Amino acid sequence: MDMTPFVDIAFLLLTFFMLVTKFKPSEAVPVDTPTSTSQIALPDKYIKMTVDKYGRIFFSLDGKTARSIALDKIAAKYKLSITPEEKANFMNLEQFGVPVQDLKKFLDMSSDQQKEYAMDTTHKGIPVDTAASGDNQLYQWLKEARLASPEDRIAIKGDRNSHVPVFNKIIKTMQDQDALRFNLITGAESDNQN
Amino acid sequence: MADIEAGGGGGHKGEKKGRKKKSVRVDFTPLVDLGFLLITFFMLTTSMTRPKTMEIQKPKPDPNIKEDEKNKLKASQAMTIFLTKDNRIVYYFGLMDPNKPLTPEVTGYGIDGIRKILKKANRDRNPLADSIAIYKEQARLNKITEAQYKANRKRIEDQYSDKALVVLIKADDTSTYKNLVDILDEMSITNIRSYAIVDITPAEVQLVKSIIK
Repeated sequence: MDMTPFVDIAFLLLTFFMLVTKFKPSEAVPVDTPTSTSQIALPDKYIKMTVDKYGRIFFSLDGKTARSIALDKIAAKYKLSITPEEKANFMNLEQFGVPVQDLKKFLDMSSDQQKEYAMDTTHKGIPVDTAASGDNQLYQWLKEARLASPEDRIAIKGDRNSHVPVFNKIIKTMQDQDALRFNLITGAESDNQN
Repeated sequence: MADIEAGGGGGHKGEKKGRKKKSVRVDFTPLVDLGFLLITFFMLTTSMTRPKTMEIQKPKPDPNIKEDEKNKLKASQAMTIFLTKDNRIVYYFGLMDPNKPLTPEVTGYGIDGIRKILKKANRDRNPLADSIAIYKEQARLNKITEAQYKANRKRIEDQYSDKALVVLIKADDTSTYKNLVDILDEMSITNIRSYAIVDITPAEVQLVKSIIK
């Protein structure tokens, strides 16, 4: 029997799936999003703030150049001396949730150690202090991220069991810099149309 | 299937029998096996559906607005929803008024809870509210265009804009993010035009606490 067409189809399918597959970016922490009936698809590029179930904030920025620009600005602001190796490490980081004071230490870690760091709930994520005198590091990150990639939408991804006050703080932080349009990332929900 | 005509004597220059054709049969089975393994892998790892989002537009905070000017809302329009612990909702209609005691009630999420109440409240203030739902359904089934739906919805809403329901959503510290997303979802399901997420005041926290023990 001639198997050639069969094999052709198989490889055609293989090629198709290889091309359409976009691997999920590795997430520092597991986040279980709530579902909604909203049908709006997520844009391709966005600045993402993730809140895990302990209320810790993680930050992600798409694009390596944008990451590099944002890191330079933050390092200058907080007087950090970032080595080229640390910068390269940062540019490959999909998501991070460290206070700036720990950033250098965090970038010196191996990726396994970074995972361990994120899983350790004594680490509090990116500090967000919305009091006027407070050091709102999320504000700084968001500001630099928006300058580095001004086209990107801002998205918030939250765990269903995290509490609301931390979201109010994030929204306050955004309002303080006139970022008034944002998206909440949710899962799809099929029922409940009426 | 896979006969390859191979010149038998690539490296034997000068040999007289070197030009003789030889048939080499290559077994493609392992290749095909591998191909299907990879197909299976990619099929299982691909997620075709992208996550959905809700778009939120917050008003620009204006420091010049005084606290008492903020709530220039008619009592007949206002509805306040408190999100609190154990997936419960406390709500009342009207505004805080020292002369008239509030009658807060407790409900839950979903079709038999807050949705029923929101639908009724919306319909009481806008008798045509149900037709918005019909237009929406038609737009979903592509019987009318999105623009037609929006135009019709705007027409109906403008007709009753001075009476329409305005929902104030106040989440206390014990409510979860899921509760917030759910209530925003209810707003879009029940086609409520005006709603706002507002910070809860300490007095209101006490009020909710006194109702939910």
